[in-house]
Amino acid sequence: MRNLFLDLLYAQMKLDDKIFFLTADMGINLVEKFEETFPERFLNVGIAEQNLIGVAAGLAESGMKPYTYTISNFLTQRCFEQIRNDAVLHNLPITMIGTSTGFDNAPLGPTHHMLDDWGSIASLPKIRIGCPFDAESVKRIFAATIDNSEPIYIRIPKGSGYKLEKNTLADEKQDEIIVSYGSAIPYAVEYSKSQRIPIYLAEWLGIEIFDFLNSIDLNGFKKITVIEDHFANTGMYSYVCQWKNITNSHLEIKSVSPSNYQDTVGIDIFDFMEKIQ
Amino acid sequence: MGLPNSMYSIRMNINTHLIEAPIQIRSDILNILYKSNASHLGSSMSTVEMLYAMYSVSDINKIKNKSADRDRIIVSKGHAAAATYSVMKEFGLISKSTLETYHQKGSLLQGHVSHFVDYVEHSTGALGHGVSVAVGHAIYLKMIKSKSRVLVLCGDGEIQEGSVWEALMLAVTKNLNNLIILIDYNKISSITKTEYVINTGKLSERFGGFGAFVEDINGHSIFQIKDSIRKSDGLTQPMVLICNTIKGKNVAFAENEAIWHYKSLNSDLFNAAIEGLK
Repeated sequence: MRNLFLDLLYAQMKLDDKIFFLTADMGINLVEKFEETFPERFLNVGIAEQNLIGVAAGLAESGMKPYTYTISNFLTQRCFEQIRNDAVLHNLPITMIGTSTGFDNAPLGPTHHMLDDWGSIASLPKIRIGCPFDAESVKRIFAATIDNSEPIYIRIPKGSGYKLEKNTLADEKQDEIIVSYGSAIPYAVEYSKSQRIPIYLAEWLGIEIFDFLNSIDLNGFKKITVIEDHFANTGMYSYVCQWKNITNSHLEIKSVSPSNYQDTVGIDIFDFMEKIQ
Repeated sequence: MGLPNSMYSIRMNINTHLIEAPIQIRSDILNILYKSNASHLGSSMSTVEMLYAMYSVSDINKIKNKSADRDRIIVSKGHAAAATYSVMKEFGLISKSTLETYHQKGSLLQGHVSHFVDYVEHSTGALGHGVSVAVGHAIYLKMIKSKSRVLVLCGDGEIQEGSVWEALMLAVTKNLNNLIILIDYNKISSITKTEYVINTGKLSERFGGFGAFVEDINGHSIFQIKDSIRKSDGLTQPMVLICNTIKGKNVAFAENEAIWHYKSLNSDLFNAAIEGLK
């Protein structure tokens, strides 16, 4: 999904000379073609995420459309104040492309567990958060960045994504549905298949989870199970609870999510799936 | 041989203005700080000449027209807002009546510079942001082959933020000679002398070591600051001007006193400060 997003961006840069690509020294064998083809619109700022966002803000204030690229956790947390003050406060069209989500890089240790990235970003007003789940989802999210006038954060899970043929895998009446996104999807789908429970996948997070929930026909259901690769207190579970309060929904809400960073190698991402059983 | 009378007269007018303008600006600053019970007197006074020089060397018409190739002025030490807005008034970028609303309920003129105010490039207040943003603007100006400059005002306490150095290293690497960073070297940060907190040694060597072209100048001399800024045209790297200043300059009881970062004026002190400008 990451490669597809970058291919789409590369193609778009040929059409739109306002697009500027910035990396914080990430993307080996991926970003070189940007520099070769668009040397004036490519910048490797070095391992300096605060500068990454600040420079992007200056470019955006001059009318450019910057896309910033690095690993999701560095992109969102080292430079949180720059995102808040320089990008969001000024409402600049900066697209922040973060690679990896959840436990995608789990063996690298807790500094690389991305369980709190979009929750941090969603605490800010007016910033969209995209998280694709398959190629078509990548294309839709990329399309949303093209003529966008506000900041967007895209967290791209590793791999090619999960092509879901249909939202419901149930062949009999159920009283539960699953909602999921990001790197939790394969596990959520496995559970969905084994239990014959319908599943719905979100690609826009933050307050847009409300729109996502409103788009699902929930008549006849009693329970929503949220399966996610992010801490529940700032993740989808939290937004589903807010939505329940706003809509006076009767639905029971269950969370399946990581509760902490993992302290050893080898713990599978969805050890916490045991909670669901 | 001397200057023709007409030239002499022009020269005299300019000189007179350079003496009178800072007095008017300091008077405006004192008035708006007093009226709104606001703080940051110290930095506002130390930056008057620097800000005046920054606007003097810039094409004000292009700023007013918001031209893509305008000079950019970025006030990274956003708490110098009272000084920035008072200087902008001198250059016709803000009205007297608007300036008088400073720090008062409903005013756009808050205690740190804000881009919601026309002709302010960027909102600051959290320190260490301005140079990075300025680098973005400088890269853009290079892209469109503009000769315009990006002038950034930074505090000497502010440079304790690491992001300033991230930005400077990139600016040097990219040969951004259109970037000029003016350091308000008043030797006092928020609560005490900067050297007690972080001893940077000789600042010019520190910045020079990072590859910038550095000049160590009198930050209260508009002539010197403007002269130095103009030298940047012949450089191949960014310029850093270490502007030696006095925090609280020309307000006798506030000079070199850290507390005037926070304190506000009562009527006696306000009157004494105004009297001291005469």
